[in-house]
Amino acid sequence: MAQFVSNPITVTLPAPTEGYQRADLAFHGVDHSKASFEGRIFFNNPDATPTTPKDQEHGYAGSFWIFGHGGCAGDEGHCDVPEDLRPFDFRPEHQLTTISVDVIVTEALKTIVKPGEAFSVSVVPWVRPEHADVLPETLVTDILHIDRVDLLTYQ
Amino acid sequence: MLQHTLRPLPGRGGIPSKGAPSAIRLRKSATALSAAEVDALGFGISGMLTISDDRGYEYWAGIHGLPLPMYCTHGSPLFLPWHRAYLYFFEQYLLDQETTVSLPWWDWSAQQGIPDAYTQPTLPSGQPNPLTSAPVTGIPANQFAQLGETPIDHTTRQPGNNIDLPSAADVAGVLALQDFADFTQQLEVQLHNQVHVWVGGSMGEIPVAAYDPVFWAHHTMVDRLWALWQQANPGAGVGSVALDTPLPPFAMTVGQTLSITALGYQYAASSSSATP
Repeated sequence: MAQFVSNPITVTLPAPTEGYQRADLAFHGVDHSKASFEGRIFFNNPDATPTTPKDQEHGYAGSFWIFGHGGCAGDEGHCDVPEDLRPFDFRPEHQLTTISVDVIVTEALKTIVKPGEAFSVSVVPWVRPEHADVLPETLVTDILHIDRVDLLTYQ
Repeated sequence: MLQHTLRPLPGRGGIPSKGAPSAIRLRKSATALSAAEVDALGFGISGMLTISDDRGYEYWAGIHGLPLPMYCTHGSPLFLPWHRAYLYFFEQYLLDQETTVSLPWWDWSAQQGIPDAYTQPTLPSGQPNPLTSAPVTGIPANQFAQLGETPIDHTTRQPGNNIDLPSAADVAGVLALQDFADFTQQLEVQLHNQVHVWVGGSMGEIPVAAYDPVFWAHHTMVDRLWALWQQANPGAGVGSVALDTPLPPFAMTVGQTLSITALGYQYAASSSSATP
């Protein structure tokens, strides 16, 4: 049985002050090389855990789901994402290149966060227990990696 | 071990032009199939399962994940075109086995779980149902070993609670988006990925997901949503993606996936015809 261990990631962002019709959180550099998981987003609840209820009372703002690559089936180096491309290298992008994920959080931002104030965004990874039980520990440990979080609002 | 190779359509340059308009197939909801249609789907899949070469079920399932190379495209604007091409070619080989069949779609937004056609132990005809689970025999043991996983010989599922599937409101919200990049991102990450995680088991991981027969019904639903979105947003195209972008290993470009009519199928809720 694998032990699911992956710490949440929390960042602090300024809330918009002006009216907006739509707000997106854009997560960049999201790793998808390991197990599939749900990334649960909480506002102003840095102590959120996988057992925290998914409701606005607890700051729940939405989720994204990562369809995981499930590890590396190749030999050493097969899953190393090249940092630089050689000129005239027209091969498709490496499959484990990190991805960007947008989550629409308009209602949660308006409801939970006070305009103009700094607020925290915590992402809590959750692997289905049935899944974690049958996967190697390496695939369900430390699965959440995000390079940057942007808050984008639209008038 | 089965090898994946480029598969050009001989003499047609990859352009899917065969077939008269009257041959356009109607892809139906998996819950609306007649007993005869469920049988036909089962017989078609059974036929593909008996073939060990590049017309067979495991060959086509393996294109998505293992054995290496993995060709599937996720987290990119090519997600929808690549999977439309994948379904198209898979359906052609299914049609080789059963000429009356079309890929059905699983409307998970009804929140009623996996359709009976994919869970009942027998087909309406009484034969064992090949849609409940499929063999996984062509993946080299060393590739499973690299993952650290115990090799499996059949697909498994561990579905969650039906209420945790995407809702009709979730689907409506995604269909309301008007920019292709926005639409494909939300469709993939919020709906498609969620269903893969919900089904669990083999469907929950890219390497073996496509071996589960319900994979095809799930992706036909995703393709249907793209078709509905295209219908509502004529001319929206595929954003900044070049239409001549190839979709390996298929001999098809992004541009060639844009019209489902040109690919020979429809998602109309109903159809009727008459001749004088």
